[in-house]
Amino acid sequence: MEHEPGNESSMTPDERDKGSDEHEPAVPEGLEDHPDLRKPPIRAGRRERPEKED
Amino acid sequence: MPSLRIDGLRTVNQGGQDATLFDPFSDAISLTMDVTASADLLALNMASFTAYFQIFDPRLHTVVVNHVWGSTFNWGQWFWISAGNNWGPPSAYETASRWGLNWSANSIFGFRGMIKASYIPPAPPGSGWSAVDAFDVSPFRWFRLKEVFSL
Repeated sequence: MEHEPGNESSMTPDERDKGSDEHEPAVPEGLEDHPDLRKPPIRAGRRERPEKED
Repeated sequence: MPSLRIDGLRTVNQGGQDATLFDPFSDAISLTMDVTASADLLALNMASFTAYFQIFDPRLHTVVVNHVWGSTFNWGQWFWISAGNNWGPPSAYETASRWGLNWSANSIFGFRGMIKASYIPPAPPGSGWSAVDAFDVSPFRWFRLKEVFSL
């Protein structure tokens, strides 16, 4: 594999991201780990062009 | 014609492996999509995408996780995006438990990705986001949780 998603650093989106989380309300204290309220971190990065394209 | 495609899905554990069996309390599950966007899509003004990381419970026939994230195309035509901590520390791993899954009656789940593109037309001035006929919905990537439970 060329990369291991989630294991690269400094590949997070920059401030241009319009992110859907922008207007989320703050998580109440003590509920940061509640599955309904917490937001899993996102990572992204470049990958090589696939060898075969449709 | 602009296009946006999910080339594949992976469920990556804390070892960076594309795994299909996870301990629900200790193994990280990072939901990962490999995406291809066409050059003419990236050429549109403020071309952006919205991605949906979904986990499907086949017993309930219901999407039980729907994590949404949007961004401009910062990584060119070929890129990956992932949701969930699999890099540590272990206390921060996105485990099945932390994803909020309930594996008491069913231990097999499906990861599905959806992605759609938007842009801002240059005219008339002040135009808002517009939909592009460029989107994709992946097949399910099935994975299983070990049947272990806390007291």
